[in-house]
Amino acid sequence: MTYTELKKFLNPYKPVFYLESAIPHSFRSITKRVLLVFLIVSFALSLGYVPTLTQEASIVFFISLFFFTLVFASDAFYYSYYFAQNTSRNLFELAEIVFHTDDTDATKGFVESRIGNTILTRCGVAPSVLSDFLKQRKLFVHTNQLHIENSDDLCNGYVSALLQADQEFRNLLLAHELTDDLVVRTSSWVLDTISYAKRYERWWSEERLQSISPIGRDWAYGVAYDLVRWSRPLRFDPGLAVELHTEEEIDLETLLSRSKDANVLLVGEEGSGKMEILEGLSRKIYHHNVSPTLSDKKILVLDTVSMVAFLQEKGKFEQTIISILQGAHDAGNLILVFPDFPAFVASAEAMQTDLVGIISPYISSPNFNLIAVCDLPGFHQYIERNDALKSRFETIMVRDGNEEQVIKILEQEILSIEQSEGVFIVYPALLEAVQASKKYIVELSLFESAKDLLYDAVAFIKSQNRFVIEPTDILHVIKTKTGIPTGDIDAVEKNKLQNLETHLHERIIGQDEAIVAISNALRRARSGIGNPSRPVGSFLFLGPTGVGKTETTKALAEIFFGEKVKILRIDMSEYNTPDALNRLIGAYDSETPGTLASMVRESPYGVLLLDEFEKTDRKVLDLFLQILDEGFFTDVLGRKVSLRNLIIVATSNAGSETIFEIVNRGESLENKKADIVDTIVTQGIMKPELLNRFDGIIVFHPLTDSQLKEVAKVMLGKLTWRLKEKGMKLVVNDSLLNYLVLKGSDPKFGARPIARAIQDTVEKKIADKIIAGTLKAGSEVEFGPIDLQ
Amino acid sequence: MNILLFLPYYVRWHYTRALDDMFQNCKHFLVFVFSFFSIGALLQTLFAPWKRLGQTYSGGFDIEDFFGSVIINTLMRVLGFCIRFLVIVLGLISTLIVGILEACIISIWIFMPLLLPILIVLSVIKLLAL
Repeated sequence: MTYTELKKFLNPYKPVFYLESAIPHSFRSITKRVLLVFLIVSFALSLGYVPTLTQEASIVFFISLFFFTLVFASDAFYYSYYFAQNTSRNLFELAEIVFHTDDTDATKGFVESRIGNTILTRCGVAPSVLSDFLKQRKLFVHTNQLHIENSDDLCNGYVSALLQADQEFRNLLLAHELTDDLVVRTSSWVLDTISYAKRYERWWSEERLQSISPIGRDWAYGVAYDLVRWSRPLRFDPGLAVELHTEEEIDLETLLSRSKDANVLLVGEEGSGKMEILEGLSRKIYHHNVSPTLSDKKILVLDTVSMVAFLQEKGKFEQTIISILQGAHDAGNLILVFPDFPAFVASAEAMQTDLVGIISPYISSPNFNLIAVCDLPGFHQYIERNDALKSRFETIMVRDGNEEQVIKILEQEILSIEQSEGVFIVYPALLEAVQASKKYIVELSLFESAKDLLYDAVAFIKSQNRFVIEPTDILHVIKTKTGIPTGDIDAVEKNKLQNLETHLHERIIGQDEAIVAISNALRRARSGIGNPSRPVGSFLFLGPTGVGKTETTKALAEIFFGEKVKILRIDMSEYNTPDALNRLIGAYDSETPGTLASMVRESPYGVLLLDEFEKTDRKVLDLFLQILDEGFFTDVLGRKVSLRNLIIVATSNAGSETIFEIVNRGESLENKKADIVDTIVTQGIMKPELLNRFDGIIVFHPLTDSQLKEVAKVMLGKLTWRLKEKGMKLVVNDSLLNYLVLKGSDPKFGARPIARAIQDTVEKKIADKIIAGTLKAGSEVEFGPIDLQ
Repeated sequence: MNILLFLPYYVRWHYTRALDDMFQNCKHFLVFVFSFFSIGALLQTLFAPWKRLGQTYSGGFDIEDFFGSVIINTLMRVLGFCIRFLVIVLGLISTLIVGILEACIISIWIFMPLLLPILIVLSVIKLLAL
């Protein structure tokens, strides 16, 4: 569609544009209220209560009535056009932009229009930036350069067309990290918000009138008086249109509509939106959008916590439950909700109450609906194993919402957050909150964690005396909460990342392949292009003992993650018994948390080192199949544990014999890596599917004499540093290094014997000298082979 | 200037689309008032006991219990009938009043262009009479 065609299409809206240009809607709204006050006061005064003012009051009344009628008629005209049936969405707003635009400058028209300005502010572009841009730009886009795509949302089509036509404007937005899609998305949200606000103003609409609860509908039902004490009606916002759990809501409605046995267990992770499903059902009932069976139902939420706390005697407790259930049964129009059913069951068990026996007579009767809400750990612990109880309910498993659904809900909540907190949240910050939650916080539901992030960002910017929440604020909150470096890369970090190999080589001798692979993984993760649904990196280090596998991992953790980040180290040879899996992810019977689960929850960011990986139990290896693939596992209580922000390094001596054989034959390990992996698979040490899931299988070379000499030099360097702190000096010479390599050279154990040799010879001699008093602060010591024998 | 351009559009709208909208809105209000008093539902349950209150007769031969139940249950039905009947009458009267008001509003709307000069004239007369 060309711009001329669009303008012609929008021509019916021109009269409203004339009206809005003369007297804007916002001005009319205020004037109408003021005039109404004048009308009431002047009318009251004209009745003669103040005789001296009666005449004047009459004049004011007639003049106010005149103007009020004018404003009222103008508003009626405005709303009549606004709510006219249209083939495309947001035509009214588009007309506002188009009629505001001078044909010679489409961009200026958009930027300076009320709608365009609101969209760009929501994108996070400051008004000063826009006015500077309008003054300094070189190109002016004529409206005939715009080609608008024909769709059901012409307004967004117009925004896209403008971005396509004006490259300079587009570059400005890209400089603010605003892609075309993001701008259009923001535009769509802004327009929907305006439209929702307008619908809300229209209190006389059929939809709004129908939503007012009629009187007398429930007079044919009873009143459960006992329930009044221990329950409250479910609170909900009738205006929201949440589409997070549509399927679950339909299932719930279907099950509750059954003539009998209409009781539901609503099971889901903490924060997955279980209560929101009930709110959705309430909204449907409120808008008369449910099956006739549920049309007059009321949802009552029991205050089980207070009830249990108050009624500590078994007799009273049982009597109250029976009374509540009987009351709900007699009332005939109630849906009873137990908000934390597992906790209630646990309390009943503690009081030795036969809950199943008490509930059973009511639960299968007609006109009785019970909804038991359970979180996953509670469900597994108290309900799942109680067959008698579970069989009385139909179970609905609540799934976590996906990214798009969560964004849609937050779009609706953002305005209320802004109103209650007095802040302004730019749209990209909302998207960042959802994306960052998905990437960094797996333990909670996506919706809950994204919402928490927004509230944390509110607290953060308030502490900074600002009121606009930007994406960087969200990333800052993530960094504070998890310790994970997010956001822009500063100069120090940039230097560290660019020279990672050099820094690692300061501590690791040789092993170039391992160092390059691991450095690349880190750079990939930090740049944000890695797969967010997998660990940062996963490597299997193969090689004989003492060649630097563990040392490489330690060096990596210290250099990149800093001294503060500890390595999560698990000796997998300790987990080779049948109960190994339980010890790692938690035991159901003993209710103990697992080692791996606890460790990762405490430090979700850093390096996980799995020593002697091949020695662990089969079931544990199977667990790592999932971890390496999806970046998380579920502990025994059903809670997700994320390893997506960890580098996983598994070390193994498997295939060492083959490595030695290849080296002894003088062949390259690089070329024979496949043979080593084949050996591991053939010997049944690890399954091929597990090996394939690692980002890299790195084969560590046995150390040559020259490399051992370098290792000895590094180790002596550490000793030299310790002596320096005491004011003594150790001179390291070549003959000492050669001696240590000769004494500590054992191909099977790599560099370990060198450390022992240093300890048994050099350190021993120095200790003797210090005790004898021949080596003091300020003195120097040097050893040759003869001194150490 | 824009307000002058707006006026001809307004006059045409006032006697065409505005009247359509007005009739639609009046219909919505009438339906709302009628359904707000739940007249249909109340007629269906006209003789039902008030909020299901009553006494259950436990059976057996107990004259006192039997007549007690009969009296209480009858009283609850009478109470239910009285309140429902009152609300039905109130609902019908309200619907009638709203209907009359709507007819008045539509008439005022039709004559509104005449009403505005009348208001000005009235103001001027009052002002001169001061």
